[in-house]
Amino acid sequence: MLIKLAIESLKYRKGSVVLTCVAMMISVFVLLGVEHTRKQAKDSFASTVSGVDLIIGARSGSLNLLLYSVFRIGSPVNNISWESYQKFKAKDEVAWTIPISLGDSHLGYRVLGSTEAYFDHYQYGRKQRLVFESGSPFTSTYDVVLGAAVADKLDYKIGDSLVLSHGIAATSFEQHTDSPFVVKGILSPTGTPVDQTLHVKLEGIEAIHQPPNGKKDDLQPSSITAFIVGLKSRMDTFRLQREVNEFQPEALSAILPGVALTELWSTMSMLEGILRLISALVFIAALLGMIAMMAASLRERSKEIQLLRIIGATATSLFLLVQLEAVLISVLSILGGAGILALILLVSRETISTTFGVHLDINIVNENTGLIALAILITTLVVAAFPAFLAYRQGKTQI
Amino acid sequence: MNTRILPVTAPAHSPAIRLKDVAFNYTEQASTPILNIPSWQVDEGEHVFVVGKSGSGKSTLLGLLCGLLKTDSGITEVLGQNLHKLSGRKRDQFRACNIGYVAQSFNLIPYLSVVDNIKLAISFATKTSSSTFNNDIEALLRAVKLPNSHWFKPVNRLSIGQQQRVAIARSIVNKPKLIIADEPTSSLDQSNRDAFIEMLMETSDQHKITLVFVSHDLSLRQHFTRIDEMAAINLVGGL
Ligand SMILES: Nc1ncnc2c1ncn2[C@@H]1O[C@H](COP(=O)(O)OP(=O)(O)O)[C@@H](O)[C@H]1O
Ligand SMILES: [Mg+2]
Repeated sequence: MLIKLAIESLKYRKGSVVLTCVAMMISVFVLLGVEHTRKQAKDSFASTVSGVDLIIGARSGSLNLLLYSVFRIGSPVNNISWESYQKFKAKDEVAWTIPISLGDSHLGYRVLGSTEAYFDHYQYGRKQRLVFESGSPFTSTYDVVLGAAVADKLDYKIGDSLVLSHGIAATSFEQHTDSPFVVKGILSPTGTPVDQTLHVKLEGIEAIHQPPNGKKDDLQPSSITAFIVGLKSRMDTFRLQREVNEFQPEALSAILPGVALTELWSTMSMLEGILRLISALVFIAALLGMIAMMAASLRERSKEIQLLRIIGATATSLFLLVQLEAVLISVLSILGGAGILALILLVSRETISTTFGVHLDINIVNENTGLIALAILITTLVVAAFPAFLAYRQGKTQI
Repeated sequence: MNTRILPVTAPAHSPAIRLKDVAFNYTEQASTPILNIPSWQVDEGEHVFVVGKSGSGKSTLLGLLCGLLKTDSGITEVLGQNLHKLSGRKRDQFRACNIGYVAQSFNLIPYLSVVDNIKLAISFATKTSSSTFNNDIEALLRAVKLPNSHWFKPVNRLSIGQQQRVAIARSIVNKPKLIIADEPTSSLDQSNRDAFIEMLMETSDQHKITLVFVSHDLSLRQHFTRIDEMAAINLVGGL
């Protein structure tokens, strides 16, 4: 009956309760949103590369190399020569390599040049290999293999032809209408930037860059952007890394993806901390709003409190009543905030996925958000003890 | 927690209320007390009309009788319990189970329905949540002549007269031994007033409930057999 009383009393004071709920909802949305996005971004980044020992590119910071080679964020400072690539590829300890050539786009999606090795060795998530939804790997210069999202969004099917342009802007001025590519394969979704990528042979990239009226027969690439290395034994990782970093003919960098990711997280941790602090402050502000609302309502409810005492409510029941009302508001706000978050994720995940290469899950119910919800409830209980105590005291002293 | 604090089963002619040397003050520092009652007694089943000017301490006296207020001086025995020897929690439960209280206004939670208001009163007396609508509640609402189209309406959609009648129903739902009424008719017009008093008298007679009815309105005296002047009970008023 006390629960019913609490519910009805909140309904009776709809106006202020709804306002308080909205403020709380927004703060819960911010709290959960920051936490969810943070966690998902980490997971998403961490699952983008798997089973890779080294990534080698032109000399630059390891973060930069990681970001442009794997996440297609930013752009390389320099290319590396084909000769250097061949030299390391031929090393005894190297099991396989995947060359990567970036810098071109098709309708806003990145074009990546590589070799068949890409489909044999590239792994993501928990050592998962790329799977073909339909078609097969590229075999000739003008074959293109599409990531799942590209095929889906641009509505391409096997056998369709398309034009690849130079540069990475969504609409490029130099469209080479004379270099039509044909869709040879479409990959299954991976939840990684691969979904947003068009894959062609290295020779295909050369073909895009040919002058329109001077076709060469020799499409042998002279440089690539970076290459990914799998070793026969991981024991050799650091030795080879040192060798790359000290390589004389050309300034190169070799990074361990795991180490670079850790570096990325530590760069981000400051930002994370600030975001968390802000969201916590927003929550506290909303909570204080609720407390103020409840404390103020006690004065106008003094007759109600008196009546409850007359019919035998203990002062403790009054304390519980106020706590119950606070918890109800809090639970409503958690549900509402989570609902808003899920809705916004649903609407914006595509955009986030294509712009940032971060794959966000709509299902926000997990251990992390559960803990936050619990923390919100406990904080509510602790803070609502203040108006609850006021009600208790009012019950004790007022007749 | 199902145990009711029942009045001590006392000898046949034990008084329902017995006050002895009771003094009361809202603040401890005040020099003159608000109540100073050497002796006052109400027998079981009696209907007492206590009349007194506004500010003479009537409501304060009722607060003491139902255990909302507490004093350390003297004896305040209600239904055989010396109230001021009970803990606050015990007094609250005693009140819930044994005393029906009807005030001048705000006797019901305005946003709860008639039935829920009665269930709420039951819930404080029993502590078990078997708060289903049952025959008892139905019989009560019929007894106070509330049309059943009103039973599930929020109380604030009822007329004042109807609300006061529901207050009677509410006050006797836990089968109390004592009803305390604090100017329950001051907000009613003449016809409603008479209907209310008759109903209150009938109900308390029927269930053999002791009634203490407080008012400043002497015209109500005709309904009562015993009339006490507040000035005679409370020596502070007499000074
Ligand atoms: N809660 C309170 N705190 C302090 N003084 C009070 C309180 N309630 C009543 N009084 C004082 O006690 C005196 C008696 O009041 P009350 O018992 O309400 O009289 P009545 O009901 O006869 O009009 C008045 O002087 C009033 O000012
Ligand atoms: Mg009064």
